[in-house]
Amino acid sequence: MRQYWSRSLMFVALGSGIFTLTPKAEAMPMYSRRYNLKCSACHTIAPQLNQMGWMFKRLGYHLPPALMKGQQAPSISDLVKKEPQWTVTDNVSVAVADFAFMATRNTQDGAAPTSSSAFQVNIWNNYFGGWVPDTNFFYLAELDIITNGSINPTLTNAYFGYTGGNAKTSWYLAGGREHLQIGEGTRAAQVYSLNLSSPLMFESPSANNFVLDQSPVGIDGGLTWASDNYKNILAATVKVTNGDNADGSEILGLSDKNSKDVWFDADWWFAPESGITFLDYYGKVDTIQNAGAANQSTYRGAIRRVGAFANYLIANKVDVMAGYMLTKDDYQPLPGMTGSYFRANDYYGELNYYVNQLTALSGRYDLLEQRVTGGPGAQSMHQWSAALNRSLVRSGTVIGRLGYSYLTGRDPILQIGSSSATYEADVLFNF
Amino acid sequence: MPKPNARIKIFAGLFLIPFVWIGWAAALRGQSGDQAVIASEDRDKPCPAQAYNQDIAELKLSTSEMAPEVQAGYHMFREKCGLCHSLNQHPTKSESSAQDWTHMVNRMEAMPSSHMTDADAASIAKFVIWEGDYSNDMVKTLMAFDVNHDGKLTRSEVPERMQPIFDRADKNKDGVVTPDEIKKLAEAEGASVVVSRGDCDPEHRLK
Repeated sequence: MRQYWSRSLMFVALGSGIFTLTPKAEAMPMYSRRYNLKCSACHTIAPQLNQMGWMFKRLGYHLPPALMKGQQAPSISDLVKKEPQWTVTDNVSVAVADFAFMATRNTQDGAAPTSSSAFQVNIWNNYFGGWVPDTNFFYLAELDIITNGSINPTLTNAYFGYTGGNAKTSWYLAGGREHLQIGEGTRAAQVYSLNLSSPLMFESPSANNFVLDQSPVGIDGGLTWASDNYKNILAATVKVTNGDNADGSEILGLSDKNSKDVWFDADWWFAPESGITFLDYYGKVDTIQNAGAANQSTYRGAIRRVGAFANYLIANKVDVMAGYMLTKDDYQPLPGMTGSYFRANDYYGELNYYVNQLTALSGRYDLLEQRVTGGPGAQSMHQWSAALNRSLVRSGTVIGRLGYSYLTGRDPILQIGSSSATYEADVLFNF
Repeated sequence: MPKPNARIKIFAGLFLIPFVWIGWAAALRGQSGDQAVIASEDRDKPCPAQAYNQDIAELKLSTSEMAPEVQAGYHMFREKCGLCHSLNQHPTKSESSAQDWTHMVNRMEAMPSSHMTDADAASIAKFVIWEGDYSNDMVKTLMAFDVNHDGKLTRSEVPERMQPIFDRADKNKDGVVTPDEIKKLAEAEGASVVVSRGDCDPEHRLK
């Protein structure tokens, strides 16, 4: 029963919204400085990447060149030669910060409702990223000093890579600690969101305390092919990583868990700015059972995620996005109880309306249907989100946001109902 | 006494009012900046290479001296190119001829996220060619007499006092003077410094 309670509390914690209110990354303005371009060259509204921003990453942090019909695509080495002179200011951003006012109200069956509010420095991130001059090597380091209002310095990204080929057909290999970013995929598959949180399916912990959105250590490689004028882009990426510890933290060093997690992602962008992403994740995660007792044991269950995501941009104004993810995890509610499982069908639909280049209205609905062996059957969690984003300066480096989110549902283990309403107003600075 | 839930909503609402107000104030300031034409003496000043040029109140050109198709190109430039560039970041000085400008716009069309059709690119090219030519003070002065907005000057459109300049500019003696011919005359005679906002851009931008 102890296990039941601990996992139930985990789901209730999801209900309280504590997992869901931090954007996973911000714009990296050193790139804007390097090319003297507005943020909107690479973002719809930061941090959500557009096709050009996504290609910028795939090309090892080099600006995608024109790919005109009949012309030979420049090699990555050619792109390197055209880069401006390397300077520290074009490679470092030390003031990416989010100042927020947040008010929440949480309810839970059998408990008195609670409310809280705060002004806080929600995020302070530092970035160091770019290319090694005169080479095809690239790097990115991200030091998150404040996360969710708490000072907790974490090196979320620290990787080094090499890009080869040309602008039309390129490949890359990278290694280090790399934020998974759910495939860095097309718009619907990105953890970056205009709403207060990413789609729930990326952030929701499973019964084994596994969260898909993580920053593990590993290696990854990818292939990218672009047609003339970027009318179509096809990409595939494979990552092999350490995965998560039993407490949900990333494995950064030696571990008893010798198996590795594998993640595969395939993306198809088609003009203008629409796309489809397929992703598959397979791994294992440890679960401590009877923690603290004499018969404490470790259960190592398999994790499987299969997802499909799509977006379609209408008239360069309305972005319709949808995603589905199937969860098929091993799960032992009690030690030695074989053949049991955790299953989930997660959906989301989102509509982003770009009023103009500086302003966007966004709304999203998330539905998680979760069940466990021996549990009360499928239980649902719903989340409604809405947000107004506006760039307060033309470069897009200062963004104001008003957001609302309401999450309600029951956990799949003990059927404890909970809800969480969140109001947030924040200003994001990217310098 | 309001319930806790209501208190949160009231408090959040009160907090959001100044926030919304600040946002709109910033928005309105941006719009008024649009309407401001930067004084010519300021435009001649060199821009620091790493400044956030794009945050300077965006240049807005007077459309009264533009032919309708150039006006359409100007609005298209703001809509399409404005995603990444402002007129403060005028494309580089390497482009000079109409062919160069057209090629550059076509290259931009071929970039991801350009959202340009061939027709959009053609329209934008008309504007940037016009803008490139008209960035010269002498060209601007003379082309102001292009009453039929055909992009060329005939002798009858030019006042008598300026006809000697017309004659010197009309190198091929076809009785018609184009902005390019005026620009060449200005450069040859040093009558006017070529004003190029592209000089603000570091050497490697947008090559």
